[in-house]
Amino acid sequence: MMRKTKLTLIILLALMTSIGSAAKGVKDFVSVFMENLQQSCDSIEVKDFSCVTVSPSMISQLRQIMSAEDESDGDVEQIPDILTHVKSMRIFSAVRKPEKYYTEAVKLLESDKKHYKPFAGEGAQRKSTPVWVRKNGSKVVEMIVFNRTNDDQLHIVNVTGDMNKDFINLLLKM
Amino acid sequence: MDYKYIEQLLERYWQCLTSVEEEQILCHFFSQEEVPAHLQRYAPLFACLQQEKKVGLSADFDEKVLARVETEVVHARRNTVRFRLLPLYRAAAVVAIVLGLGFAAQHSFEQNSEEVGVSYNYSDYKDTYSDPQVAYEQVSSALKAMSKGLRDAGLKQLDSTWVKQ
Amino acid sequence: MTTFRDDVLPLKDLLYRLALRITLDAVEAEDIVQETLIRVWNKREEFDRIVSIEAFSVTVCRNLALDWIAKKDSQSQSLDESFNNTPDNAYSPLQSLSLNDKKDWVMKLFNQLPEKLKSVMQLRDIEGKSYKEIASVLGITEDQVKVNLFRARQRVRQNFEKIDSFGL
Repeated sequence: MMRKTKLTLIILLALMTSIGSAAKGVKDFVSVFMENLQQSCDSIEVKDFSCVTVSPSMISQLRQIMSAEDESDGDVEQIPDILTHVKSMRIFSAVRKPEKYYTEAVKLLESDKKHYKPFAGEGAQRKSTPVWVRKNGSKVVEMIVFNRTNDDQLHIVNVTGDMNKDFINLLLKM
Repeated sequence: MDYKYIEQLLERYWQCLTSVEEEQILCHFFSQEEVPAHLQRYAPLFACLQQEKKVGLSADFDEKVLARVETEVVHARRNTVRFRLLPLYRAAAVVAIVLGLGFAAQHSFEQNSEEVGVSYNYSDYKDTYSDPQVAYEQVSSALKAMSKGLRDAGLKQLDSTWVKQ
Repeated sequence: MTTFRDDVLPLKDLLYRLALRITLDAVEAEDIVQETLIRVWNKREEFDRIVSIEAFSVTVCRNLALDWIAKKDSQSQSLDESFNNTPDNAYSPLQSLSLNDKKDWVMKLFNQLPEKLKSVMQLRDIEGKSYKEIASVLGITEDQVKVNLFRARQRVRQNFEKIDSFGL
């Protein structure tokens, strides 16, 4: 009796994984990038680069806190609304060798054309756009934005959620 | 007694040229009872430093923190008890797999070339900052950076036609 | 095999002194040390990748203390009276004070230094750490450590001279 159950289980599992593999949990770009750099997003060590993770529960906490507060500052008003489209956020920062990490990140994006596509406005250069997206069907579920600061640091902001036109329009207004 | 050595050490201390051992010599010297008048000026500094080295936590701190660490061990042990109930879960697992299989099969036949349910491992996400205030600051500057990025990418206010991209 | 009792817990006093120096709040410092030790212990799987458990722990502790400071600053402007006024007896001759009072005066002076300067001085003058260790904890170069230490000690020295000149 036990052997039969075991066998059935194994066969079912094998079939299950082959069909179900497409539905496996997905990793956001920055965590894949960090893995490539042989680091985890959780490490606190001081290095050339670091990663900040904001989990879904923290995002919803922030939305609640920010909606409750009454601010007259223009930026702050939009943030709770923007956050309704955001499930999670990861921020990769390179304080040294920003060029190196930029190049590697773009290389990684370009190597996975199936998932990541550059995103730009009409008439703009798609080749050197700072914005990349990942879609699920017609929905944008992940967005990656590159940013260089005045003091030569590289930041990669990586959000997941529902990056629809409302989200983009709200961000453009900031 | 020749205090020239101490005077030299002191001068090098201000220039940050002393080693850790030399700094200890200064501390020990100034914590003596008899410090000559001409060297007394900075004695309180070294006396203070020496005193500060002894600051520490009380004995009950150890108990508190060990208690916290040990509760985690207890949680681990509880899990092994659950593990022993595995045979009971097997039957439920078979049923769940059969149902899940049927559902997935049905689902995948209805799909075209689109990706099947992109879902993220959100349970793996550990907050870097547990303080919402600090997290908020990070999020707020990140969103501003995103805004700039979108503008640099040549995006203007979108209407409903953008979905077709 | 690393154990909590032998490898992590003994760091408690060093961490407490640093946390206290930064936060100037004994209760908070104790909480921070507890939190630090537990977080470090939870990372024990990565211990063989970390060069120094001590440096790692000090970094975690300092970051927690700085987070608390940032939170406190954003909440209220009123600062703890006993730590953030100019030192008592600032205008009376230093020589006339007892040794204990003088030590208190030095401590207040030390506590009032900007965070980076006092952390460097704490780690060097009280904990006896090398420039290399301090650099790895603060995420700066050894040269920068020396610069910060120099500034800290110079400020202390200048204050001594200022007070002594009043004595005349």
